[in-house]
Amino acid sequence: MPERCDLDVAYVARLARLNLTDAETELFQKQLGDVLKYADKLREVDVSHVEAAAHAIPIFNAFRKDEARDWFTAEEALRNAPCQENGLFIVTKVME
Amino acid sequence: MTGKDLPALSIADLQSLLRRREVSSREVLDVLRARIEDADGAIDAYLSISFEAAAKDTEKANVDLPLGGVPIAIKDIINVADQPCTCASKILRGYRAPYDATVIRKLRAAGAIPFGKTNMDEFAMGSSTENSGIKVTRNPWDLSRVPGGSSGGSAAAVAADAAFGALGTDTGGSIRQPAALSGIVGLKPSYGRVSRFGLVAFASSLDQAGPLTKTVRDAALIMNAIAGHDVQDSTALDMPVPDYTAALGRDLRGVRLGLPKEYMIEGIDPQVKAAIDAAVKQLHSLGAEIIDVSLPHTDYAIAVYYILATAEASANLARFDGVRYGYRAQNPKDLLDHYGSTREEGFGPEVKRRIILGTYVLSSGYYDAYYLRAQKVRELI
Repeated sequence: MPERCDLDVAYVARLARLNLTDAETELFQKQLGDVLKYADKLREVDVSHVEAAAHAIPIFNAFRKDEARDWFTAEEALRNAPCQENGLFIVTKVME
Repeated sequence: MTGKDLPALSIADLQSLLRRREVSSREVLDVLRARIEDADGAIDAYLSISFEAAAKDTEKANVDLPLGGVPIAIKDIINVADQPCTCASKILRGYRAPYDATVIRKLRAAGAIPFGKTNMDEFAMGSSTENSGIKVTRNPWDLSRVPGGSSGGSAAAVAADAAFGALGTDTGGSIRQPAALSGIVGLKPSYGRVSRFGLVAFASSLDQAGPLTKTVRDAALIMNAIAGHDVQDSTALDMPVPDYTAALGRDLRGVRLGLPKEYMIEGIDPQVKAAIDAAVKQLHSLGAEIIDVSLPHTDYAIAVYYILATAEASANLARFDGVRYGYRAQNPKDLLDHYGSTREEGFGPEVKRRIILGTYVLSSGYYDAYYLRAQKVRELI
């Protein structure tokens, strides 16, 4: 683990696509610094012989038959969209 | 039995009245509605109630099924077709589920009627239901106290006889703790026992749905309905489902129970300790063999939880981008600001805090040090 906490909340917030106010940034910097300091205790544990697992049960692939089945219609899929037109999601423009 | 006494019934007792045609499903729903209108102003357990749809369901209810005609409350993180599903977050205000989660499909198949959605900590992140983005739920035993969380609305509704039983979800205690704080029964099923399809994901390696009920028998009845394999959740175990009620009423001879010494640490509340001691004594008197065991990595559990749960949450909550569903910020400068502002305005502080931490422990240079190491320590725990 890194020797010291070098969490930069403003930078991580940009990675997370999450705007924060200056006050939130400052508060989270302090609070999450404390959380990471607490999590440093995991450095004490010898994990050299342990393999990581994504979850508690040994299932790695689960296949079902590749059969067509009914699912949402386009109309149903669009029903909760904040902005839609002509059967399409409208997004904020990405090109000038 | 007068209508006024109905809401206090367990699911099992209510169901036998229904089965004997001593009361109709519609009458049950109407009595429950009156009880909710009477009680929920003070506790605020419910976020939305769909009485009209439920009334229609009562017309075709088959009361000969195990949960036939019984209304069940559902935590607002589980999709129920055509009902709101907000996770108590502003970012999902107005969202209506387009489909039933597998647990809802299975409850319906057992005859139950999902009729209302209960309050919770926003996206199940919290232990008091005070982190709800909509409102705070109070403990019906003492309105100055919290009901626990994150399934606090489900727990409070059941404790107040404003629900016969409820579903909650549990990632790091979110069924068990509110059940304890509200004086009811709550069970987190083993991971893989119950399908997660149709649950809004928080931490996918830990999330499970389970019952909050007035009695152990009711919890067994709900488990009978919701447990089992599901092709739509690759982690749902393909194993036979036992009849959970078959174990009721028996003694515990031949059962050996381990009591981890690391759970009885300094600082434990004396009332909690006394309750555990009493339970151990009771289990022993029923024939169980009690042995002391050691789980030496217990002390690392919270640190592991905070890394794994936030990492998975930061990935799962990336879907809330203001495009396909949910809240969308007005007049963004550009696409990045569309995402950033939508999420800033839609998420509450605890959700933001966990997204930041989770993004950090997954980011380049820290993944091995935090996330991978936490996964390995979890294996040891």
